[in-house]
Amino acid sequence: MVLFFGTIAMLALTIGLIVFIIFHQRKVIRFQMQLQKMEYDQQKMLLNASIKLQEEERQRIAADLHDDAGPLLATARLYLNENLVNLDKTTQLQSIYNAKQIIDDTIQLIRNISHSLMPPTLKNFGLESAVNDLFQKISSSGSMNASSRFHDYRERMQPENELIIFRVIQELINNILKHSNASFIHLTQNTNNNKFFIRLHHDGRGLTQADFEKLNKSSVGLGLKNIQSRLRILQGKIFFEKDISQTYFKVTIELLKESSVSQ
Amino acid sequence: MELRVVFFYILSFFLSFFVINIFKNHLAAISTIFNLFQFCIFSILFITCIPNRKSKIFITALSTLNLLFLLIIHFQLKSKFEFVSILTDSLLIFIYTLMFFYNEMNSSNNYIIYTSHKFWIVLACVIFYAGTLFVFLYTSDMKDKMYSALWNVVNLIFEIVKNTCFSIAFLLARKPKQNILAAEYDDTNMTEKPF
Repeated sequence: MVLFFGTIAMLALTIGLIVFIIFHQRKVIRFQMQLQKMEYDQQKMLLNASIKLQEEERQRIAADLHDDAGPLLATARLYLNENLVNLDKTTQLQSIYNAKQIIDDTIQLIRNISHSLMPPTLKNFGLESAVNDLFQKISSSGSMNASSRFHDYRERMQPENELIIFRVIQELINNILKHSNASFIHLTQNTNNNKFFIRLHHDGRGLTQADFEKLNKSSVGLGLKNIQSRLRILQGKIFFEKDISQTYFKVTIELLKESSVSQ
Repeated sequence: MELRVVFFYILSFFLSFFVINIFKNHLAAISTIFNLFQFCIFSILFITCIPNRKSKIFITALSTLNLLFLLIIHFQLKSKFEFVSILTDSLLIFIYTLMFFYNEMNSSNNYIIYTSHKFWIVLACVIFYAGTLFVFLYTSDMKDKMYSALWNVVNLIFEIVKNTCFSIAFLLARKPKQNILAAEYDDTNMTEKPF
């Protein structure tokens, strides 16, 4: 009797254990699949946002060239037609002067387009100068009080990383200008324990982390998705929060110092 | 590697029948030796099935200690040797099984556990030991005819179960394991469907 029940009990115990392990493992795999699906969807969304933004940028450049540079150069061509040699000297000089003015305007226009693609201050003097320059421009427009302060930026990052961070800051500033109705923006930079921080304060209407995540999952908020996909390249994080005093909104960008500093 | 060990075990299992036929008078001694040999083989199987280095060392150490312990028991308590040997062997096999499953659960393999041949090898070992533990513990009652018949039936059933599991292991080893997660989200889909 002992033998029979003992054998049955041992078998039941062993089979029970194995069945439990199989079911548990299936559950874990199902959970991992769900996680992976979510990650996959998120990546797809970010990729789409990035492609859409790139297309918009191309359209903007194409429109700038077609609508502004095209007519200007066409006008300059009109001034410098073949008939110009048959005209009197005063008219010739006037035409050449006008054509020269138009060509100067075109050069300026193309320079502006080029600067919007890659700010020369950023390329030549680094992130600190480019951000200071950007904030100075905003402040001098008179619509908002903007200031920036870099506390610990002795080593420059790799140029491509600086450009990514600058674009993220530009996008955030753009959002603040467009939606927040703030009266001031203040940017600070600091480092702590091998981490690089950039923090933006403003007193307008802002986002919290929950809003950011909600917008990130929805089809709207293209700029925010773009920010996230850019930061992902640097393995960076972004946090949106409201100040404890409930007066300011804070946006913190956190990056690993090693991944961004130039070797 | 583990399949080669299984093959060697099955081969030695068949050879044991011939040995028993030759040395009919020493059945008890041959049975004891074969049990110890079986434990050693199963320990080697667990060593080859578990990828974790620490677990391999642990199993080797524990099995060696068990063999040394049994050697002492053999000389000190000869009458209890069979009982102690089966009990410690089974206990260790259960511990190794738990270690194997623990390792499998913590590994990053994304395939279902029963699609692995190692699972069936371990299953064969543990089912065999679980099913025959109580029958073997009472081997001293072999003189009882009814018990002897029961012993034969139980032993035969679990030998069949064990060999079936080993056969499944051999069959599964031929098939490449499919990673569920990788198959679900294959990146090539993106290139196949241009937008």
